[in-house]
Amino acid sequence: MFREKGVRIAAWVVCSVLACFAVAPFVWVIATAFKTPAEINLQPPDFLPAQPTLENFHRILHDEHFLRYIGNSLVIALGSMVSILFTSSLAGFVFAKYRFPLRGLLFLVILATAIIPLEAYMIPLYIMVFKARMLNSYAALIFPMVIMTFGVFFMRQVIMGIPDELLEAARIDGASEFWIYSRIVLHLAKSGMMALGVFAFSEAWANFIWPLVIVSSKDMYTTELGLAVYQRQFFTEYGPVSAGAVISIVPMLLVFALLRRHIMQGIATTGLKG
Amino acid sequence: MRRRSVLTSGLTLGAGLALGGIGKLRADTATSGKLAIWLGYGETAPTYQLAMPAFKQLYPNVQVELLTFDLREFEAKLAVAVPTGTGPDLLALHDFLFPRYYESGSLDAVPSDLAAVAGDAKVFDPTFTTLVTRDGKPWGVPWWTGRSALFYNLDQFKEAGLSGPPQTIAQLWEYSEKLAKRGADGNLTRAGISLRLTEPSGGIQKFGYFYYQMTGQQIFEPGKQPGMVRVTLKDNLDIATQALLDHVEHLHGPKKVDDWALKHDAQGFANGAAAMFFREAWVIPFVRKNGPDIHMGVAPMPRDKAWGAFNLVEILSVNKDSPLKKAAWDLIRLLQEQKYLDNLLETSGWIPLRKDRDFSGFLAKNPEYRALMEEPAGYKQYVEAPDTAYQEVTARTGEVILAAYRDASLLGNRDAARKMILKAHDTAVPILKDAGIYEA
Amino acid sequence: MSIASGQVLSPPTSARRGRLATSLARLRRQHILFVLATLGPILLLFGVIRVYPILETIRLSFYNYHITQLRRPFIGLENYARLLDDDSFLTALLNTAQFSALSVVITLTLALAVAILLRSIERAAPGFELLFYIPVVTPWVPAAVIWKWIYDPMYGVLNLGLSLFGVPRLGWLQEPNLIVYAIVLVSVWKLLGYFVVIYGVGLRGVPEELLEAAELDGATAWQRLVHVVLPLMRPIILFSVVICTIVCFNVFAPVYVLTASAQGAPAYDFKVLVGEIYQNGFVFYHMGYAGAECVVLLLCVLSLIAVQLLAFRER
Repeated sequence: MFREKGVRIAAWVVCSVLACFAVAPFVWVIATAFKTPAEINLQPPDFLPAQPTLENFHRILHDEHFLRYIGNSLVIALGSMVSILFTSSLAGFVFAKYRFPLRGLLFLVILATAIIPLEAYMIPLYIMVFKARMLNSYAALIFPMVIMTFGVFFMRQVIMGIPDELLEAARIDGASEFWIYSRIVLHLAKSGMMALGVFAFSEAWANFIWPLVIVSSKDMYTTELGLAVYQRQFFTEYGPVSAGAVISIVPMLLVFALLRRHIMQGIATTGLKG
Repeated sequence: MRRRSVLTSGLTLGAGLALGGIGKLRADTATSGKLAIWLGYGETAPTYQLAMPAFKQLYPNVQVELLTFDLREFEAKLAVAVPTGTGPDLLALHDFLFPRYYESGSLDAVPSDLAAVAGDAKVFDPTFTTLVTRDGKPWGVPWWTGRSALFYNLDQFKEAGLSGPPQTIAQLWEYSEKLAKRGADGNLTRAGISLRLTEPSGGIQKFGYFYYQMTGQQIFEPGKQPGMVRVTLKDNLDIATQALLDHVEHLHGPKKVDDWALKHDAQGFANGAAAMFFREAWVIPFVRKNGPDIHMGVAPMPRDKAWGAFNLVEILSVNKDSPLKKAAWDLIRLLQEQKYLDNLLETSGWIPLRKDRDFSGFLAKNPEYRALMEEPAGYKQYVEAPDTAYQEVTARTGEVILAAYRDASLLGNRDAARKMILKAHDTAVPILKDAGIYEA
Repeated sequence: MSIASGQVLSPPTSARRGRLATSLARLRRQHILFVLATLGPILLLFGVIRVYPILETIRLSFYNYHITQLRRPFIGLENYARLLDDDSFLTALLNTAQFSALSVVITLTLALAVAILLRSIERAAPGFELLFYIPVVTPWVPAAVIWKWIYDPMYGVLNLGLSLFGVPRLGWLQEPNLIVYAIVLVSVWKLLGYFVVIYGVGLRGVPEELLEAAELDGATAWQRLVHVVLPLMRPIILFSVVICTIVCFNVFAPVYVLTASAQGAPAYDFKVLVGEIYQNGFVFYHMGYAGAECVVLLLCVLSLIAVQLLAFRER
């Protein structure tokens, strides 16, 4: 876009500084996760561990049962992701490609619900889950995260970019609407789905307040909840806390790194470019 | 406490047997399920765990699950769970949370044998019995107390030429000035005394320590009617103003002894960044672990007009909606036994409240606890007034006091300080009125 | 479904036109059925999980609702009247506004600048974008662990770094005047990568020919940016401003985790709207009052979005 030398130098400098700002805290935590307690307490601190140890990971994963928590988080995040992908793409498809009464109003109502965060209306939700006798279950943990306002908006944008002619042609071939959705729309919106999937997964993975009020047994803890509880209780145990932090971040990073191309492409197809 | 406990242990043998009798019960295999316990103070978890084998013998088919949370999150969880009947089976409640759950009808009445113990003045000091009693009946068993004391760094005292802990509030401030240390840049590197400068509820509580010694009253006193609360700040306006001015004077200007940017509380003390502070017994195991080089002294609260220690009491109750009420009460019975109380003291540092148990062996090995467990004549043990609006009234009033600490313009300005005290008073009154517990 | 393929391509005769009309009508009926069958359950979910709890919260704002008390009288607008002289609420409102203004402006300006700069080093861009994205996918709980150390007044990296420039020791999370910047900094750290990616996508969509034409006309890099790139970016900037405003006005998690009172390192009690709602609802049990605060939050964000939409209207 800009090939001027000055701009390019500025780009390298600014981006490198900001990249350091973005990753330095993370690198610090990784380093700490491999340090021995003696080394963590050094003043001034060493940046890299002199004798790297896996002890902290062992304590978190084995003694503190984080493997179980990671499993729970995976179930919840994957469940939430699948449901959000399904509901968002279907609703997005309908809002993008069909005309029906109250369409604008209904879409607006869905958008408006994103303005207030979950923390603000958690008590009525809790009472609902309680009345349905679902407390302390995967269903209850996933329940508020089976839909996503942003997902509907996002998929509508993506699907609006699919030419009407393609859909019409299929209809004339005798395809049912659901067939069109599952075979044509989903196929063409694949990148968008991946972008949304990663986003939905990370949102569900990072959720903390809802699991806190819903869960009442340790075997249902999520990684985030387990980490928060552990950290409050053992706030001076920096080593295991860091190891826990690393464990809770790394899966997200891997997913993002692997799917980066699709995600960018997915966002590109939203028509947000104007 | 120790001497009295040896004396009274014989007298209360009957009550002790009632509790000891539990071992003779036959195992109850018919009861099964999961008994949930939520703790806002995770450090008591090992004691519950220690009691598990004995409990398992009584109830082989009951699984006990302990969940520990940050205190703030524990309260939030209870707030939604208990009213909907989804709370834990065994409720470990602080005295300030207790009234709320009693008022909402969430608690099971204490079985008669335990009730007799809870009401026995030889077993529990009446101060603590009163806490759990409503309509003439106990609704829980007091278990431990977080009793306030002064913790001080022996090496730093020696370095400042001080031979012992301060005996009076005036001495406390004087010593703190000697103990505070500044770096080359003029910044404090060590607090003479680590004051509670953040977190409003804790802030007003610690301000209250000074206030109590200076006035003989708490800021929030129990009213004449049960459940009602009086705000005493206006009655003691001049003294309260003086207490605030003392704080401001030691936070700004030449006599500054503490700074917001220092590490505070137990962590600051364990790092050597605080020479003194007020806290409860859990500090002892904490400092042993996190500041192994620190030589700590523990002293009773310094006196002024009055002399007393604040007690934060944990009460064990059972959820009225629990299907495992009997098992929960049996676990509470177990937790009264000497070996679990010893363990509680040793691992968590919280002080068991039963006077009919003997901790002399423990004290011989851990002399630091003396100041916390012995009750010299005239040293009064006081507790918070039961208050259903406790969190709100302490948080909002504490905000006023903490904001006043930050205000350097109050330095030596008695009128302005008095206004702040009046503001704190006027903040508290409408909250209590709203909750229907205000007494003029 | 019986329309053979190809028919539509031939010019419709009147007979065919009739058949086409009926089949179209049938198609439309099918559409309606499909829309009802798919959107119905999804809207139901939105109704149950979002709309109902929000409406319930709003309804409670007219009651003196206390979760453990059985008496819950209707009190009309009294909760709202009390908001007006509740210092904590007004402070929270002010703090949230100040935080949001700073956070939105800094995050979006920086993200736009970075996204534009990245377009001049296209080959390194994916790598940088990945690095910037790390904080986005870092959950708040571990993020708070990290930042609490950084901000520690005595041992923290931030004060250590600043002291090299002679800056005196600062209590980032302890001083009422500093904590807002501390939280803004964490938010920028957390949100930047997301908007860099969004802007990056928008910028990649700017036609290269337009830029080349402008360059041939002798436009400087700055002129090309202001006259070619930015006007094309208007919709995506609007989108980002709206999203970022919503996220920032709802700020709670970073404040909560950074100021949570781990012993010994407590922070200044920085009030924000959602925090007040949480405290009133969950800690003080004033659900009705929390509901009123919720309505104010809703109105604030809605009016901000309205203003933003107006400001970005095509002229």
